[in-house]
Amino acid sequence: MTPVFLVAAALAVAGALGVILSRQPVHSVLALVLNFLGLAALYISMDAEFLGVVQLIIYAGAIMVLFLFVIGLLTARKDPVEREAGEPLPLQRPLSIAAAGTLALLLGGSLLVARFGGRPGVPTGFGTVKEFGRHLLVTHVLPFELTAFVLMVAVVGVIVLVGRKQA
Amino acid sequence: MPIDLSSVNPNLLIILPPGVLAVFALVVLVLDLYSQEKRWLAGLSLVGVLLSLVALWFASRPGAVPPGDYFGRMVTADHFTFYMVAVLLVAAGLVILFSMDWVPRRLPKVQVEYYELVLFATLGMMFMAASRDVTLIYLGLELSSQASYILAGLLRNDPRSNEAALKYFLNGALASAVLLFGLSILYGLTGTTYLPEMLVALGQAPLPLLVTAMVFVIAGFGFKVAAAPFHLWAPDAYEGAPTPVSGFFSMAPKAAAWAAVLRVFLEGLSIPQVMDKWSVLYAVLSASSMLIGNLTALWQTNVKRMMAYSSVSHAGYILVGVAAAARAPEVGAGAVLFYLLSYILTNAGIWAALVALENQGEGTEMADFRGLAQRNPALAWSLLLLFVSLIGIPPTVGFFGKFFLFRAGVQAGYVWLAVLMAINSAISVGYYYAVVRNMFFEKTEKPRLELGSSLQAVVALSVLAVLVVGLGSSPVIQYAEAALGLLGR
Amino acid sequence: MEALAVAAKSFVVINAVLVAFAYILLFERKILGWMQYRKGPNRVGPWGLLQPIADAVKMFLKEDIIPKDADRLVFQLAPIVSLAVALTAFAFVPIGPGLAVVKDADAGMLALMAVLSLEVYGVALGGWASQSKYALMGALRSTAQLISYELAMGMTVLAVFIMAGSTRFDAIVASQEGLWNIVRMPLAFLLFFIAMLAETARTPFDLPESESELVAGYHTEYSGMRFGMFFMAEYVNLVTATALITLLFLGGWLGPAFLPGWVWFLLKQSLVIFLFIWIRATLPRFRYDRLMAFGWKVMLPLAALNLVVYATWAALA
Repeated sequence: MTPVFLVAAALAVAGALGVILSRQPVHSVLALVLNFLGLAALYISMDAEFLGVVQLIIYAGAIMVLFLFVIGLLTARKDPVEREAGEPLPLQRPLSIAAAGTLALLLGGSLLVARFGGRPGVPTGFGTVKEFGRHLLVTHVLPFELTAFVLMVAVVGVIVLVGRKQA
Repeated sequence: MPIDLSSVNPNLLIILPPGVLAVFALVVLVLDLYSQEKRWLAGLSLVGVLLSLVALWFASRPGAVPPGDYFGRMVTADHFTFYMVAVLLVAAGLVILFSMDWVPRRLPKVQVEYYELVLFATLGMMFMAASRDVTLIYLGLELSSQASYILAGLLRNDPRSNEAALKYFLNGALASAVLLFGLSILYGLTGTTYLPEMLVALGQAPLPLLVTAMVFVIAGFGFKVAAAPFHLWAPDAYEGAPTPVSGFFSMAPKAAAWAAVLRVFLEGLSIPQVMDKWSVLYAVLSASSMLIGNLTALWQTNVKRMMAYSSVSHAGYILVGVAAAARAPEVGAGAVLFYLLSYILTNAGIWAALVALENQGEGTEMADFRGLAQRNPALAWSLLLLFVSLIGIPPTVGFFGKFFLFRAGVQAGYVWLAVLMAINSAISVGYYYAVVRNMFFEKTEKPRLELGSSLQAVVALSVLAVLVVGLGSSPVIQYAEAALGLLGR
Repeated sequence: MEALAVAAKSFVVINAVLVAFAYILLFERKILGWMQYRKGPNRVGPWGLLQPIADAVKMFLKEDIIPKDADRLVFQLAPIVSLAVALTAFAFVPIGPGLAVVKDADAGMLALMAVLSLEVYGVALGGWASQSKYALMGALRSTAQLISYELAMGMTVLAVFIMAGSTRFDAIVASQEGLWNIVRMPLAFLLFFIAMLAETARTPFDLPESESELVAGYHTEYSGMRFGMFFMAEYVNLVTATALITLLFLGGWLGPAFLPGWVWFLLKQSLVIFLFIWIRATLPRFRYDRLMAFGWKVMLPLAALNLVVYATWAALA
């Protein structure tokens, strides 16, 4: 429990809470960015520098900006967000709490197992640029390339389904 | 043909079939930009599939690629891989062939994209069948699913196609998430994504978590193969999607998903503590799929929708084999593999007939089949034979497929399930007969139904295969059962 | 102790950077003046040397106006985010061997890029929170522009990483001993230079605040010191960007031994800053669609090509 861990964890938790508690969508986005900052700091404090950096570049720097872009445009007029319309599904709240509880139980259980079951720790060099690169481009080169195909299919799909060309 | 392959790096040889397909897909994608005439690109796609089959033939010859894992343990060379990849390529080839006349008529602006997406989807499915690493299995699933979502929505101006794409996408994305969640728990329990290692490490895993993960994985795959009660997206997706695309859905993606199910459950989750559990779960899914699929199909008036429910019931039949595979792996999995081939070969002809109707500007309602025997007797008799195969009456391939599943079920002690399967086959006569009655006993004024050479080829191939593979099924089933014999052992 | 040292260093560096900001601004105004046959600021102090101080006092004394409809929290936060991010990014920049606030970061350049990628938030949030169409347009443009050019920038930097075999600044500089990257990879230099112009939103890429169409872009509604913070962030980014160009392509602190390394560094950097100002005085602004087309259809493919070429070179060497 180093001070860095405490600060970063507090940031992450505060951000996560902010996401679900704020009424203004843009504030939620900002809170999520805060959460990512905390996570990145956690990674870095665990010597997984590359993971931390990538967390920032990809999630905070690219994906959340896109979120901000879209949400910012949708709420550009700052219309009050509809909140009091009630729950669309009956028993929505109890059910979601039950689901979340089950999930927490499961995850907590697996954490306990990981703690007491004597799982092997992460290998040395985990999360550094070199190890990451080796895994990505040597052992996992096939999944890596397949991901490229997945993305390209998505791009083709966007152009085919909503592009200017009329089918 | 004396070509010495022993000097070729097996890593290259095993990746050659998907590699050829990927290269052709990309080349077609680029040529689309520069070519005014689009029809030959469909031919080029077909050539890609055929060349990929040729590459597969080279790779699968004894001694070319020693059994084992390649590319960082990502791709497996065994009979299972060769068999399933061949089946998938055949399915893709048949789909491209029966789409050739339809696509220029209905999708004039996105002709080439159609073939590209079919090729990309097939590429993903090949990796689903060829890998023993859940990373690659999942990525292959995603690639094929994404391409499928887009294919379902290609008719941009048809609201039903939009609905099909949206429903398929939302359900599929949910299924992927559920599946991934299950797989990630498995990874957390074992620290590996490589199925044989997972199998070894699972022994120490706590059972409750393991069962939770297993349920998630079953539910995820259940969506993908449209087994009841996870089938609700299927009828709408099949009905709304462009007809050849629905045909594609009923043939290829499901076969690949079944391959992944067999891999994950027989190689990764086959420790005794959980085998019984998933076996029973699959047996229950099997019973519900057969009953729901067949009983609902009886009430359908649209043939595409009817075929969707029919495919749900066939998923139920296949699940008999999967459930049996827990207790009798070779027989059960062999029966599943054989059934996949028989189902694809039979379905190709039926969907070709539906495409032919749409080619003449007609619909796919029951009523559209009226008097087909007058309009094109050869097609009507072919369809009759194909329906007979789907029902499972000898001497067609469908009979042998069902017979092997039945045998596997009995051997594994699922006699009740096997009997239920026989009863359901009898029920299915009802809705197939409805089409047959319309074809032979109703009169119509409509002109002759022309098929075009590529559709004729598909129907002829389908009919031929139904007879030949059925009568000559013993080498195929031997190969299929041997395929599992080599799995992971 | 270490934390205290870092804090002290940060304090010194922040002040140094802010003073540098003030005088770079004067430098820019003077040069722009001369290039346009004017004298530039020349009233406050000898040669206008006290002008920045006068400007600073003015900023502090102006009223801090918050528009009625603005999202107060975000509106007040945005300039702070902007400046904080800019200063954090600079913390990774070494001006001599080991002369940085954060020393010897294993993923030094990557970490810097990570922080730089957050720069867009200040602008986007400021523009959004103002509830003004000009500000919103400016924010949208800058979001799109920064993300588009970040890709090309990242790809170009990858080529530099490959040639250096490391993401550390000292290794990158050391790899240029004898042959600077500007000679070894001229295309990469050009791409990176352009990307840096775009990332700092300098002419000809100053669309986020193009005064002739959007009043002042994303900071239209800001006044007083909050406007000042945006302004400062912009110039701190300029310092960081020019420092990066110096480090990655101009050999960093390498130079003949009669001057210490950091002097060489600052000399080279000043030259790059001058180049930036020169470009501002010379080139007109891009049209928006051209800007995007240039980023995606020219910069990105060229950067990818560049990467492939140098990856092949490194693999063969």
